Amino acid sequence: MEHKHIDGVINMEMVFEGLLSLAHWQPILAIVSGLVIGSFIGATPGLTGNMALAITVPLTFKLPPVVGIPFLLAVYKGSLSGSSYSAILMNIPGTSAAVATVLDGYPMTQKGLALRAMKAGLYSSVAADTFSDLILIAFAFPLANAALNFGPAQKASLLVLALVLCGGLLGDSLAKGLLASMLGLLFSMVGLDPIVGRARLNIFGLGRMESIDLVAFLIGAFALAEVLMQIRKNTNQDIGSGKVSMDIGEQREGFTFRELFRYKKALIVSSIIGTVIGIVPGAGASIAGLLGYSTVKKISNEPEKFGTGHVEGVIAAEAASGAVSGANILPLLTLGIPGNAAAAILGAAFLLQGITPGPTIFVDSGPQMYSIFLAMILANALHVPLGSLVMKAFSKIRSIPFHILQPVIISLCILGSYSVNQRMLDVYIMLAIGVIAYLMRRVDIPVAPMVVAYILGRQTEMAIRQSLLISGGSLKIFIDNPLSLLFTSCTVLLLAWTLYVKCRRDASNKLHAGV
Amino acid sequence: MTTGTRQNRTDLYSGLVAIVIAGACWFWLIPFRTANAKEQGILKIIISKSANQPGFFPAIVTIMLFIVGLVLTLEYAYAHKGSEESLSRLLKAAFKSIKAENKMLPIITALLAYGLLVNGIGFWTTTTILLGTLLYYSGVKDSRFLALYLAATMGGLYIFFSVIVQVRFPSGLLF
Repeated sequence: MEHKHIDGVINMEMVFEGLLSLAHWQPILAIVSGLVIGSFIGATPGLTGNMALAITVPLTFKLPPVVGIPFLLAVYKGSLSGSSYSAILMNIPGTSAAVATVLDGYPMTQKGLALRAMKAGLYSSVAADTFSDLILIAFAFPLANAALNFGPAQKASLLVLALVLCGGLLGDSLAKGLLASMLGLLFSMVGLDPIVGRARLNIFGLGRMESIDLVAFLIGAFALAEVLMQIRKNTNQDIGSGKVSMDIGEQREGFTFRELFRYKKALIVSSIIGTVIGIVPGAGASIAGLLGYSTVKKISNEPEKFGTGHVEGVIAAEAASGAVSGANILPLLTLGIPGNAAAAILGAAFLLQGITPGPTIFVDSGPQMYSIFLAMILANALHVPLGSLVMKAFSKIRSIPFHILQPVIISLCILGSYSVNQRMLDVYIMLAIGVIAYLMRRVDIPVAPMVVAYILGRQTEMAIRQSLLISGGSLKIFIDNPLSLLFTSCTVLLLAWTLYVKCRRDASNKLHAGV
Repeated sequence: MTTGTRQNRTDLYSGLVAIVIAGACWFWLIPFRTANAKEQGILKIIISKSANQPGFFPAIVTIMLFIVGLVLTLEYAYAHKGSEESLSRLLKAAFKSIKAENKMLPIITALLAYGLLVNGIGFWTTTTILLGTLLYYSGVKDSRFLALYLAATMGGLYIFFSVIVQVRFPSGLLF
């Protein structure tokens, strides 16, 4: 299919069209509810942001894209900031994104400064998120346009690089990450061959389907597996069971936006770190938070205060993890490569809405993309007042036994996976993938690379096979072009570097163990 | 037992499972469950780089999966070179790990039973029974609370999915 090029950095005509489609009550209501749902889910220990996204994707399939996608983005944004509430109040990060927030957030609660910590976290997260969204808006269009010129060989080498990055970085072990990627690729191949249309890996009749349903796969891998993990851990963690008083109603010492700018160095540095980490496939909000925190600590005028309940520590951690949310959909939208689990789920939501992430996204769905971008900015603006309300409400909730939530989530998994195609086969697939993902997690195999590989599998296969058909089977096609050479070299270097680091670590471990 | 040892053992388990899956793909799923693969021969498809064959990419991924599995297994063997970890001790550890999943067995059985019964009995009835079983299993024994909770949750889900979104669920014998 031939696609027309659209010149310019930002297409103003599309921006206005996008703005018009957003100026209705439905998208605004979707954003508000998404933020509230996301904040509560993110704040609940055991319920992750990915789970929130996975179980809410099926709720959006009958909504128009300018309502459904902003809702999911708001859920994601809300879950990122919500995870900091339980980190600050209870010393339990709601999701891994808030791991670094605990370091200064909880000591602030112990000092009776919980409200100040939560507000500082919310404001810095929203400010950094806005910065990251602006970077996305500025670069998405030119990057997508540039990627339109990619041929199958460039695309194949880029996709392989993304798979190796995700496999290597989304877990502790490269080999296990790659194992997960291979499993994801195998799952992506179940169904009809994308070139000749013949059945492949045909078990239980699945080979005659076009492919395994993406939503069922995502719900199983993220939501059901997470619930099974929680059931196993028997996490009967009650919200509000922390030893420190969570009631922030009487606390007067809050935090203002003006005060935030006193810590502008921390805010700017962490926002940049979070944005860069967000763009890199394989990295995520937890890495960004920790990296932002440690970098700001190094350059701070008061490094000795970090870890003792210093507000700058909370700002550094929250700004870095908040900045990930806009940037990590940049590779998804422009290249069709989801860099992490959240982007993978959002990618599925885009597909469900008939928007194919990738270089042609602005050609095919330009105005919708700009309304989604504008919705992201609007979500940030609404996040401040809504977040303040949610944090107060959350601090008053005394007890939500986790085991009460688990069956509801399982029901949502079943209903969600069924309702997209209205067939029981998808429920069976979701249950099977959920159990497989649970077993993978039990032996420390990361699930996210499997999901990313599943999503990228068909594209990667098509690109590799097309390249080989063009070159008559010669592998030279993957190094002939400067861009494919660059991507292939990066893949080889990355693999070599990871192996080198692993060998050094093993050698040092043996030395310390006295072997 | 140190975390390191556990890590090594999970490496071994993952490696062995990867090799088994690769074997299943190579000897069964690709030749017998993939179009043209048996007639053409998997090795021939790979060597001649027949990219138009449906079995081409699955075969490549299977080889890579086998290599990753082998690496993980060899990593374990290398880490335990000269150590006293015997096969029987390893099997005991594996058995212990499986036994630790005891708690999960009723849950997985309930999910399996759900999958088998849902079409025959009906979606909403089976889902309500599953939900009730899970709640009961997780310690909710108060029957009044259980009934109220189930009614509220399933009612809410029914209104959203069946009435608002208008999804048609299998009705089966009951509902």
